Amino acid sequence: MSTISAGTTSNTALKQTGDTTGNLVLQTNGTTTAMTISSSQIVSLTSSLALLGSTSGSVSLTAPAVAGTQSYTLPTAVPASNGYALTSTTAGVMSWAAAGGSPGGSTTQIQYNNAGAFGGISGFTTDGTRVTASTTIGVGGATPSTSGSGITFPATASISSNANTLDDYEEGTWTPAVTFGGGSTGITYSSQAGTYTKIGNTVRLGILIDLSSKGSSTGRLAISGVPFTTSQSGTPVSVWCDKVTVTGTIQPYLYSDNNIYFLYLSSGTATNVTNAEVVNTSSLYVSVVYPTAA
Amino acid sequence: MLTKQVKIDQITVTENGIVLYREATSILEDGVELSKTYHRSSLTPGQDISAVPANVQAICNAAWTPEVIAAYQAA
Repeated sequence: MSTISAGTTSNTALKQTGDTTGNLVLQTNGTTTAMTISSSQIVSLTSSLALLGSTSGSVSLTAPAVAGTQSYTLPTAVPASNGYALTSTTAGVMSWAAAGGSPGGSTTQIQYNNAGAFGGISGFTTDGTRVTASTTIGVGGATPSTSGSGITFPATASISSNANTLDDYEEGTWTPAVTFGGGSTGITYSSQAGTYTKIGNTVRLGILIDLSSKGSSTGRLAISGVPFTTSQSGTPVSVWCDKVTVTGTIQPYLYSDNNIYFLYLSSGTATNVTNAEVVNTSSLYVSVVYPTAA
Repeated sequence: MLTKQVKIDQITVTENGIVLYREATSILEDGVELSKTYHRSSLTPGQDISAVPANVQAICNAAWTPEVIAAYQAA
């Protein structure tokens, strides 16, 4: 049999004695447990704990419906700075920490998700205003080059319709070939080299040709093998010719049939340079910049 | 281990039948690309293609119908 006493002569405001569990259980309606006080747990509430405002309202702390058996230990000190967040160990021991976690890597390094943690990108830093990449950057899904520094574009350009977007860069070589009237019978070279650089929709070609024999084909002189077609047929070409004898200035043009044709003014008339003006050791050094749709 | 890989990685046919193709040469170390260079070529309709790679020949043969060749040569 339990005995509840209050305000006894021993200064006990409220105490329970005589119950073998040693717990003090408060019930509502005489049957529903609302609060239990035991020796190991000061208060166990079956509902929520409401803290009343000094003037009005209240703040409640409520356990989840299926609460499990978890325990939290409050931090041992107040936050070191404003804006700190409450963090916890897996044991529920809480402490204050700067919100967002701790950065990885070194100071100035831009962060990335390193398997769920913050990691610093050693080659990608910022002073808070400007961004510096120390090696290479790949765009459009391109794997950045492992050598040098720069921007790596996709091997196959992804053309942008935005006029302010640089969407392609490529450099390489090609093999220019001399033809006369479309033929190249017996033509040989001591030098035959071509380079190209494509930036966006603009192509620059360099051509170095030294003939060792002009062969036997006849007709107008052309250079074939141009690596990108021009979208502006008739683009003027810069040239320096050696041992190509005409009366006037040679002006080559790049046409949309992918050939560079050589013309000069003869008595005011544009005339094709032909095999007749070329000798076995003629040289053609050419440079051209033109637009391309490819 | 260093390996050299050469392949035709791009073939383009223009509106007037010109075939542009690109040969990519890559140097790889244990599968990681160390360098890559390009060499481009172009072929005009009707041109001799006996010396070009087989896959490029196949594209040329498909694209260069008698009508395409005639239109290119007439332009």
